[in-house]
Amino acid sequence: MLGGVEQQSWQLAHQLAARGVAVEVLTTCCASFNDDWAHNALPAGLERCGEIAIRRFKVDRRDRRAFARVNAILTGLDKSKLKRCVSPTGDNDARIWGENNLNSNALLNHLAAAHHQFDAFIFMPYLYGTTLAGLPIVAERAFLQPCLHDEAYAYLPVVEQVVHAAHGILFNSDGEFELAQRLFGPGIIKKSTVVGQGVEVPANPDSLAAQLAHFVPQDEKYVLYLGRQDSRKNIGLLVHAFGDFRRRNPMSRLKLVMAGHRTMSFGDSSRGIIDVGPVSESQKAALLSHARALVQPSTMESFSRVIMESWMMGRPVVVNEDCQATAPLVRQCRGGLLAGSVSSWENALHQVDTADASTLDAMGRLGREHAVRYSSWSRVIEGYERVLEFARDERPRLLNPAIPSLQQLCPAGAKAARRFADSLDRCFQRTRGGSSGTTSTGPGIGSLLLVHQASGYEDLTGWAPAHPNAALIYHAATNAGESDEAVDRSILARATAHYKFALASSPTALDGLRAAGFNNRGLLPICVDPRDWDCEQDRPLSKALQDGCTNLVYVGPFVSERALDNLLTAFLHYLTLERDSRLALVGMGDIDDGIYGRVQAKVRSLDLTDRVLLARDITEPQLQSVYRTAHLFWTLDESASFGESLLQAMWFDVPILAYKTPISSYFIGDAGLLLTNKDDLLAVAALAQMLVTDSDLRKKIITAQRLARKRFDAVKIVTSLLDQFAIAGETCA
Amino acid sequence: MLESLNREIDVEALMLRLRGRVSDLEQQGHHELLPSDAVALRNSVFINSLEAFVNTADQKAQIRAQWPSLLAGFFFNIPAIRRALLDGLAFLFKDQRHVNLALVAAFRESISLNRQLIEQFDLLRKDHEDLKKNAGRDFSG
Repeated sequence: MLGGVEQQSWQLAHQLAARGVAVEVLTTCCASFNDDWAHNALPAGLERCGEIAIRRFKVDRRDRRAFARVNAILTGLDKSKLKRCVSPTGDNDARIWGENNLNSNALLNHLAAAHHQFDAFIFMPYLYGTTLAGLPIVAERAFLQPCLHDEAYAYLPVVEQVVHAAHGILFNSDGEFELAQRLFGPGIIKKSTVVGQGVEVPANPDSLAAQLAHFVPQDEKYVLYLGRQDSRKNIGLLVHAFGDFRRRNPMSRLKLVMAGHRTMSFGDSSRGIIDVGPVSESQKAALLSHARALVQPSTMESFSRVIMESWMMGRPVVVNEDCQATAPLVRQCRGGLLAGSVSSWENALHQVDTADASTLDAMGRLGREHAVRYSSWSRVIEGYERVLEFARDERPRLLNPAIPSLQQLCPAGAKAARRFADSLDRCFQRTRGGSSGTTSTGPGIGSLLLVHQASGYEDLTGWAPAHPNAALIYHAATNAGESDEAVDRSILARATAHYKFALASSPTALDGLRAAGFNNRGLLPICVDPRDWDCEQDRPLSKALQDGCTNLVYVGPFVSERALDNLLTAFLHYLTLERDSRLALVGMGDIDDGIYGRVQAKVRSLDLTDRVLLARDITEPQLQSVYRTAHLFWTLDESASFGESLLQAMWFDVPILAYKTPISSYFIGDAGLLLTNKDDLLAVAALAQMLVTDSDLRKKIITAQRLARKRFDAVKIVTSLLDQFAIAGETCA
Repeated sequence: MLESLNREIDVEALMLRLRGRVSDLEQQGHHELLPSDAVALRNSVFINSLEAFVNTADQKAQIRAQWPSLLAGFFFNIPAIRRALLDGLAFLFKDQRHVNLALVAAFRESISLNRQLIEQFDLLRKDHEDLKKNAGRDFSG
């Protein structure tokens, strides 16, 4: 087995088979990653390996040179130049890369013909033609186990398409899941599971240790690099750092031992670098057990089996602090050291060299505790079984079978109320596993009727008496005048006789219901379901917004001119603090045309057209681009909207700086910062800058926002709504 | 001014930092610019950004005396070779360097001229506004 993914798939297949799952491995006749991808080295056809059936297919012919040219461009790109949702190469090169990848038409034909024989498909890893072209054929039952790295391939459009097409995604580590969220947005959260990776305890080291001919591990003092010796694994950094370490510490006995397959050797015994090449499992165990520490300089890891194996042997590790998968693990369990630059690696090697054995053993012990807890195969396989069982059950989350459909009445022209109703409808359909539910502006009798009453719009409350299972949802106007409020009061007062209970879309609306005399009332937050964004975003807009500027974003109603004026002035202050910044003002929900026009004129008069992006009613992919490139969600709004954009910002991990209102207090709660006074707009701008630049503060707020958004989970909201109806139904009976 | 129920966030420390920052900014005269004359502020931001570009160009136009840290290897680690290569580069691009320095100087003059023009335009605008006010008063009087 050359690499981690090959080992992982092999062990996974065997472990699943051992639990009684019928496993068939579909693969190609290509011998390995390092062989020619167009050469059929192994025979095509079915082969049995214990309980597992392995079916190999011939690979397609390919243009190696064309692929190598594009591949060289992709692998040569600096990581800092990679931008989310922006293709790292042109369309033509991306096509060449896909067409000349490791492809097998025979495998794809088999998938298309025999897909009904399987309950689920697991595709791994993400970057080969068999996954990129195969997954869409069986998307409804396809699970992608991407083994994702932060590398140029992950930014290709075809990869994002496959990620969004998959029914579910399985991750090896929390770090890999974090990276996937950053690359593909919050749309994948609900279909993702961190299953982890099982690691077996390495073989007994002592009996076979002597078989390493020229190197006797128990007599040496060394750090160990274990795995494929490939420049993409950042070995150059390790060798460079070790060379510097030896130059500065000529008396040190510490050696660097490199074990694993390689196409070129870094070994140089005069400089203390020992290349032992590929090793057997027992030799690996011997090397691990006597090493001072395992070193893993790679940033291209989704899990790193060797780290777990080292911990299983009670040895500490030194990992790259820029690796999103391994660094958080080491920070979490304190089972080793972190290093990034050459000098910090040199420093880490010095620490490993000079530390006493008890210090290294203590780190190794902490690592071992972590590895035993999280990487046992039984635990990992249980995770797979949970996910795959779920895939077999087409409609597992049927909440309340007593209510099969939803009917909503919404006043014509009430945009904000319509958005609320649409989001509720989408979530209801998903939660019910696809049962019908429509939003209508006309009357209709369904099993459940929700009547939306919005301030300033026609009175629809009269439809309720004809319906046995109806509730009123009241939306208070964000810019209601006294006359509107009086009309609302009289409408709601009449409605108390017809509705058993009423729901409010905001705290202000809830006050309205209380004043009208509804005893059975509650707050129904808007359903913001991240699955709405499980699709591609607007690539040109994403590219334009990632031009190096700081993006400050406001999305919401345009009903308070004062609040928008304040925001523009605060942004002018912000420009004096940070020249390269942009304010995106996006009108959503209630938009007063007059106010929108005046804001537009003001932006023009201030000559801010290149700094302020003003838009209204943008599409969902565009909205996704705006949020995903945002550094801060900034609102000084005082109106009583229902806070949809606050929840959206939380899902996109954009820190929020909001003026304190009933709705912002309700949603943000303990998650973020609320302004209680906005008289000093220079101070407001300075605070916004702190939130943009202070990474610790951002991290705290984003962590709290992730907890806060769970409280408003769309499934929970729909469940509680249906539960209320079930109770109401029993009372009626 | 600020409220947070998040126990992880020390609001008092944050407010202390914020006050310090605002006080620094006020001493630099930020409040005088806003919001009464946002156009002047915009112009100032624009001119400052031009100046930043020129500063970068100026810095890069100088003779390179330090070996780039990214370019390392057995051959390039020898100080004599590094020095010879740097001298060679300086000699080869001598003419280009003169052109670059002349362009940077010209651009600096242009920025200075722009700044003067903006100041004069502001004065003229203020005079014009005063005249308008006085004329209105004269007519109404």
